[in-house]
Amino acid sequence: MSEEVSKSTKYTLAFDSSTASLAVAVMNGGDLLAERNITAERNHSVHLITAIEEALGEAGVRKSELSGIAAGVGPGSYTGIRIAVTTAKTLAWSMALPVAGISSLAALGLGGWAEGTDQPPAAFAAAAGSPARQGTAAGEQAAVGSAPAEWIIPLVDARRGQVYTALFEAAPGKLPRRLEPDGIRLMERWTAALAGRLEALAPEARPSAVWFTGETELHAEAAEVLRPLLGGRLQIRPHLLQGAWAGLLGADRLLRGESDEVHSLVPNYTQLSEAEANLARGK
Amino acid sequence: MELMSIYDKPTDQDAYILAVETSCDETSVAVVKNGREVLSNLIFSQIETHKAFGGVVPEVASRKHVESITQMLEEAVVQSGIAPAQLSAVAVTQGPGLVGALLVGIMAAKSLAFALDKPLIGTHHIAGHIYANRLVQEIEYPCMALVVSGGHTELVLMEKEGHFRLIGRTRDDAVGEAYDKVARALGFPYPGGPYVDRLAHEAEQATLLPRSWLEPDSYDFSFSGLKSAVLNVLNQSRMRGEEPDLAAIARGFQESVIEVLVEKAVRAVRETGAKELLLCGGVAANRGLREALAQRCDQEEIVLRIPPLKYCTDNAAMIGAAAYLKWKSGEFAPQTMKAEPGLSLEAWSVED
Repeated sequence: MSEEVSKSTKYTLAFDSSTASLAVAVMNGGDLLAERNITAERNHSVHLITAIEEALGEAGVRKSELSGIAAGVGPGSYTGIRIAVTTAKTLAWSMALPVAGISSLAALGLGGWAEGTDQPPAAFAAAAGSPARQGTAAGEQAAVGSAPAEWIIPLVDARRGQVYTALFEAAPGKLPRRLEPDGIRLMERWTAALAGRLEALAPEARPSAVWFTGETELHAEAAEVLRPLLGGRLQIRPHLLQGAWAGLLGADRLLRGESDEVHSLVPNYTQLSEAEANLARGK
Repeated sequence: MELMSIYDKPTDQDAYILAVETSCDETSVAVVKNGREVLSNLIFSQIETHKAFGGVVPEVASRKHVESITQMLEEAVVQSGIAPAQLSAVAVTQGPGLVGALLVGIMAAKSLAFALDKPLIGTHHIAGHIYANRLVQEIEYPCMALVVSGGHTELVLMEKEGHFRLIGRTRDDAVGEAYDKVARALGFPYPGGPYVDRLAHEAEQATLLPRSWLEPDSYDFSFSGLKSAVLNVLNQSRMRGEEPDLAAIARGFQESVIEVLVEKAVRAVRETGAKELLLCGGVAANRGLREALAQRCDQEEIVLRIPPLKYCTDNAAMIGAAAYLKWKSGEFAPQTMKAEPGLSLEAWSVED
């Protein structure tokens, strides 16, 4: 069964347009074949299809050979996530391929942490699609293993002191495991909650490192409130989302036989539009 | 442009164009044969959603488009009876419209064109409204189009097929916009145009309201002064402690709008020697306008064409009809095509 799945989802095309970078990857199983990361201009609708064509060309993969599509569903720029999701579901529908939405924050966090710990994408090739790996369902409480894991906190600025963020725990060579769902949070409250969570852990069970990564520029100061608790274990590392990490997470889902229903795949905005929120409040 | 060369030049064979329209609050996909025959034309209107907000909310519209886009593609293809591989091209509204809404249709069309190895045709929304007429019968040139909708009020001269010259446009509100604003002032829910039209027909008298003719030779329009005049009448009667005669105001407003539209359109036809007058856009559904224009054109012996209502409001079949012009001239868009909220109709004319 798992062999059959692996075979039928060998080449994955993955992309993300939720942030300032337009990220595209072509994967063979868990191996990165080619990627395109465009950060020159934030005009992802203009460059996405040509970036896909270029990545496929460089990978030597014809689109007819693809076995799955993966895309970052956000959270992030509303327009950006619609570009990736619309493209993913249209490609998947028209080429009759499975489609897997992935968290853009998971890709951002994985990349920032992996870079910070000198792990190239190849270090995770074996982990992608590994059936042994326990679930990544949103909000799942991790059974923290004996060795203290590292924490990953991806940040995407959401204006007015808010961030799109989540919490993952990770160990070298393994894909991160989710501890908190993707959401929009006030950075100040988020760091307070994280501090509380750290304090609740016995000192030996606390993470060996805590990585704030992604769009850290505006939020580094807020993250520093954890310094007294963590000292040198607090890491703040700016990172731009890259195709390889989205590719690994997409391949992971598809290789494990997971996919989403193509027609109902939608972006994860994490919140109502302003107009809907006002209406709900009776304004 | 470099992408054009990979496609064969159009041949004499039948062209099957799949068209996508998401410029505002309708998600629509159609398959149109040779720019004339509608094989499928699916329209998902979000109007019920936007009613709650009293108008179209761009972010909500964009979200709705993403939710339904592939379902619409699938149903349009199935209903057309044309296999995706048989399609000749994929067309999409490039502008004008709400940029976030346009982008959903554009990414869907680009993805489909890429997946199927078909050329992409960026299409002008107003050219679509005009060429909705060709879904009914052939157009005789030169002709004049009066485009009236929630976002547009334009007089467009076409000397020949695919050549657009904007001779008049609104300087402020579009007709449909003015109707919706006046409707709100009269206490009607969004979209209020049809309520005003109905109320005007029931009225026994009309409140006299100003006509905005602008300069004597101008084909431009202006409706914001008229809208203010309506608000003044309402305020004045309320200040006098009287209940305003809403029906009379509705009729007065409608008569002012229609008189200006009809006079300018007829003058434009006369002065340019147009053989036909095409009425297009969502406000072509307005009974008062249709009747007045039909009566006047009859007197003046002007051929008036009005497409059926389903092709007047936003729909993808009209985009397929307009895109056929570019199919014939072999003008395809590269995959780097941008959404153009302010796309120029004249610049979209086919190349000579």
